[in-house]
Amino acid sequence: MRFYQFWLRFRKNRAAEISFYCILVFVSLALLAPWLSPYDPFALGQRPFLPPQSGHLMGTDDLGRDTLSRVLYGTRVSLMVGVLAAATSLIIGTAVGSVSGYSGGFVDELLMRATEYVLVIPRFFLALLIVAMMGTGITKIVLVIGFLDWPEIARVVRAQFLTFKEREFVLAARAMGLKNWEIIFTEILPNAIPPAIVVGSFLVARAILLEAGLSFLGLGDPELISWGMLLSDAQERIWFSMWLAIFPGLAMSLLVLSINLFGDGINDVLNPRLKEK
Amino acid sequence: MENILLDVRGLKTYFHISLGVVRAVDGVNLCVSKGEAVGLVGESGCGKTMTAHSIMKLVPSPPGFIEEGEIWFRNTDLLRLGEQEMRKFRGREVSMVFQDPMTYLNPVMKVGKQIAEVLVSPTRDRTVIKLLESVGIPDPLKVADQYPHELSGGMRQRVLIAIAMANDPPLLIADEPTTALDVTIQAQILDLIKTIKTEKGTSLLLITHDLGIVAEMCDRVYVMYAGKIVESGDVFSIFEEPLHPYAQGLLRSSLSIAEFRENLETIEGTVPNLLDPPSGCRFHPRCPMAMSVCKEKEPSLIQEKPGHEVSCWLYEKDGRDRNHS
Repeated sequence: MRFYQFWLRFRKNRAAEISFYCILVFVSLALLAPWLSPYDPFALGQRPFLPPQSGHLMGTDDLGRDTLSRVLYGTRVSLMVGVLAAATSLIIGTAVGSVSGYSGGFVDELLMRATEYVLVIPRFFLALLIVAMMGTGITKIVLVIGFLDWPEIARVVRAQFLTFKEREFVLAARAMGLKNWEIIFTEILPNAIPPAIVVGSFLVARAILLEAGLSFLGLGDPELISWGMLLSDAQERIWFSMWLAIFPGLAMSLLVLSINLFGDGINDVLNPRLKEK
Repeated sequence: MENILLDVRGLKTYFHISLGVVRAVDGVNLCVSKGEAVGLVGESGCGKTMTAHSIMKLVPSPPGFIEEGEIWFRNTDLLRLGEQEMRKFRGREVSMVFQDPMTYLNPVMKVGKQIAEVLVSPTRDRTVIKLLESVGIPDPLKVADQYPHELSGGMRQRVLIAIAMANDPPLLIADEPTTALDVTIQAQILDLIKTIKTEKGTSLLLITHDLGIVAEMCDRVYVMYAGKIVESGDVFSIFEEPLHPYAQGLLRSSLSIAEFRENLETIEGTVPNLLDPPSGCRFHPRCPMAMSVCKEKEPSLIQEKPGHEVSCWLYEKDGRDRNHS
């Protein structure tokens, strides 16, 4: 029932609703990639540089591999990196923000200065440096992005804790003898999570772009197909076989746009007051 | 004195703010015996709530500090306890019902869970339902599964009482428990508190500005003004014969259905700024019977009759003489 109310309010934002369906489509494509792909994405074909046609809906690349199959498999990597990296950020950011906001004082100062420090580092270049030094690999990429993208979450969660820890129900909880960790986890955190989820959804989009950037520069996981890698392969031949760039590019733009609009939609539902202004 | 449950002696809670020191609670003495209902009355801002929060050691610090005093609960001075030990006291030995049932419940947690959270016993679910039943909630199974915003104000206050009584504390502090409710609901909630009190033998410290509630609920009353206790005694003597001019004023300005009055009497002026309280007796700028000595010296609490104490120069032999000379 409550979920249904949420859905009704969410649907008022048409763009967000459509984005939600788009994301659903991307997720199912990623899950079903092995069955949907017409060809093995790694199998070399006989005819390179075929333009889009029946049989090869998105054409083939320099080694005759089917672009459609490769884009489908790329969806898996992009979504996985996006979601896992954002989840990592969400966990780190929530932990830092909760402790910082609840304890205040010296601990707060320390954690917030650390957060700001991470925030001012140019993320992409640091990620580049770390991946270049530690070697590529999907787990490393996820962790690097996750460990660089948490400051926004931490700040949002901290701000929530600052307001909620002064609220009467927290005082009441203390008057009933609840322990500090109980107050953090059961009283304040459930109130602090919704805005963090909204920021988290934007982080998914950003992590996808960051991973694409890394792959584009050749620092992606060489054993997996990612959209960034497809774009990177396509750039040399963009003038005579532009479909190689167009399809992965379109897929990426559409997914990132959908995730951002979806996040906006969630935000509208969770903070209705912001929208009235 | 075995019977005394809570004994507050010389409690001073000050707030250190940039403008100076606010003496919110300035030397309060009060005690509550086992099974007794004690009222603490006074205007808004006179330090009632801060007295209660000091007893629970919930004064926001900084800026608030308990500067002096002792709070004896049975044989323990609560002010000497560390935060860890104090936590075991709250909810189990002393617990509190608050003013506004809306804001004192967590909006995103189901009612049942909020009650279960404070329970020490492991048989949670059944205890929760029992508790909800005991505070007169008609459909406890359903209510336990609802969020606070789905309940009415009266229901929410019942839930808060259920939470406060969850671990059967010997002392319940009720901080204006009915202020945010409308009159019919007020009566129901007061009845409920009364029932709990008689059934479980809980002592009650009731904070209110409503003298009608005090008359109905309490055995003894403390009248508080500007951070100090100005008069204390049992309900009958205070309502029959209030001694302090402030208590007299309070009684005169309260409404009664029995008598019709064209104009409601008021006490002129407002509660003094506790940053810079008046000299001498803090009530003297508003007191109709103020004498010269009131401005100069603070009256002490004297026992005018057995069990009836007042802090006013009118009743000090010394003070009266000085005025006439």
